[in-house]
Amino acid sequence: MTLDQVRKGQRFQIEKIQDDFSRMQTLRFGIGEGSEASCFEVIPGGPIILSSGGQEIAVGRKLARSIQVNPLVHGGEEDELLYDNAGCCRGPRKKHRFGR
Amino acid sequence: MIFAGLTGQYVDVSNYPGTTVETYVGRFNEATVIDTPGVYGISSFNDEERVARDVILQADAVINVVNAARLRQDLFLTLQLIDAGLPLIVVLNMMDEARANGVEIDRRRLEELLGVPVYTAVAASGEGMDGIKQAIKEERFRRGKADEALDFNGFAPEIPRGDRLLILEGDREVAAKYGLTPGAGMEQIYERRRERADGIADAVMRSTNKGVRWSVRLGRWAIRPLTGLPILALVLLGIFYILGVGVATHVVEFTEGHLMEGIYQPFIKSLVEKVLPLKSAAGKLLVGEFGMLTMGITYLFGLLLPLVVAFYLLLGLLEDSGYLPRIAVLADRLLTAVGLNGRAVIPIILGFGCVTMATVTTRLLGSNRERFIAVFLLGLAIPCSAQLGIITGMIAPLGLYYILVYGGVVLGIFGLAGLVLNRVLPGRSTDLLIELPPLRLPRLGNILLKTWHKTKNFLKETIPLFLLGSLILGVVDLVGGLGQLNTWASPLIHGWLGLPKEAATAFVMGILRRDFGAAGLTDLALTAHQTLVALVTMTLFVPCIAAVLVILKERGWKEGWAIWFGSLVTAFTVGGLVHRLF
Repeated sequence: MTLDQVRKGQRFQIEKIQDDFSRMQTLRFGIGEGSEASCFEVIPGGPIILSSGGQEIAVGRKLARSIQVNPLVHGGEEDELLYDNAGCCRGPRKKHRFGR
Repeated sequence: MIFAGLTGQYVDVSNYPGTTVETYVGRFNEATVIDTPGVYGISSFNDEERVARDVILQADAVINVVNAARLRQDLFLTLQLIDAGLPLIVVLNMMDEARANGVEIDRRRLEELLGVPVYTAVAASGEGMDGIKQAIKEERFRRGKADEALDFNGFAPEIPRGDRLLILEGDREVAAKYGLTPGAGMEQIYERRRERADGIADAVMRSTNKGVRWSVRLGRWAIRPLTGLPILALVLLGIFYILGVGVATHVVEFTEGHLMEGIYQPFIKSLVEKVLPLKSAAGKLLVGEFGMLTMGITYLFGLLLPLVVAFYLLLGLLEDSGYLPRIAVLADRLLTAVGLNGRAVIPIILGFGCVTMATVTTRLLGSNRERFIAVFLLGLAIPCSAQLGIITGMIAPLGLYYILVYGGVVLGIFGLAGLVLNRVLPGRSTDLLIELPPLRLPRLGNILLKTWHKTKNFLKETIPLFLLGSLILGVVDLVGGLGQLNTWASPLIHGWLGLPKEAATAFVMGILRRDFGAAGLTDLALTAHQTLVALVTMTLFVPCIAAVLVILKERGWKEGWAIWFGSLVTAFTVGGLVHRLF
């Protein structure tokens, strides 16, 4: 599925970022293909805010459509609760797995 | 802030990455210290990075200021600097904020893993500055542990290591300098570096369960539309109330009415009278109706200065708290419709301060197409703070109906022009991709310093223009040109817009400076309806001469004049329509 389809609170792994520029830019932000992240917020018709490694990144809707993700846990609501209690900086440990 | 602490010089600091496009140069002992824009990495991604890259690659040594509260992200640049083989000191700044977020950092372990000295600091309070100064004096800069997989062989010996790294990373500009083909290794190098940065961050950071979480909650509320839009509305309303009611009415009443017209003007008139008669040409030019020392100075210090100071204070608050990028998120959907993305709220909000300044910041937009749209909309439909102050001052007493019509028309034109441009212009615009820094309590000292600096620059640029404007107006008045001009423009001003023909003077002055023109309107006895028409036309009318010059500089002559002419035609067309429809 693509990033614009994730639900709030859902955790997922980023599979493919089509746009070269965006891929390099997100790597600097701390997120790359293979990173795990969770969806912090979805603005209806607008950007998707994802959260990874204690930081939040807003991704425009069109760009989100070109980012392939792999959902990790189903049932976003429960996951969000866990996330809320832990606070933004202490989500479940995320590990980058870069395919080489 | 670290830079300011070292050199005693002012530096523009804010919570939005990418607001310092200029570099600041200062001195510390014998050394020249150059502050670069805040960047995520160095290469040719954008202007800031280019500037930072060029400064850094030529430096003897680098002080890498890392935000302890966002170590994971900032380590990417640190590792890039280490890979470039630069002698380095790392300063972990904002330790207080990291602690407040419940993050502990093991400094020694970080030192060990990076292979360079690491110092901790809270630059805003001066904590740790002595240690850093000491380290620089003793030249404790070290080359750290670089990525071992990097292959620097196969380059001509005269190419420095930093340049080699950037060529390997595929930086076209650096490669072109040596006539080489840029490498294709960017992605692998970046991925390895990201992995190292994450590994180091995991090893040195420890989360404690202490710390305040209100900022996280508030940050979430600020972007969630259900709560975010009311918050945004409140913030904007607050700004309008403070600027429009508090400052534009009450403060200005005191500064313009009391200080300027009550005390200063009689004083300066009596002073001039001792040297030359008030009725003489020179006397009129100095202290007459349009006198440089009377009207010019009064508008400037009595009317403009309080408004501008207030605006910069509020803007500083928005920037420093980290709220600005959240507005970008909320505005993204709407701005996408006009061919921009959420990032463009930065120039647009800045535009409410000064269109000239905002035009320069359109460079941070992702494509040439967006830059053109943003510059056009800024010039057309965004009133600058000085103008806005006068506009709010004039329209607020007219009541809700006029406020809504004015706001609606200007906003409508903004949207309409944007929609049309988005349809007509070729190419496609880029998408939003920004980081949301944690919300924090703004630092008062920081904001005051910034406001002071910006106000100073504003006055430096404005005083000559205002004096010149009064002089030109005075001279034209002396030779009877104003009556002539008013008669000549009468069909347009009186016939089409339904305004008294004297308003032509205000419009001409509007070219010199928008706010100057708007201020000229306050002197005319206008009905509520006429005020509305005049203000709409004035808002859409050409930006001030300074903005026109910057637009020409940024967009070139052809596009520049197209923008100028386009907004002129739009302004009078819309003004006439408002006259007939409302």
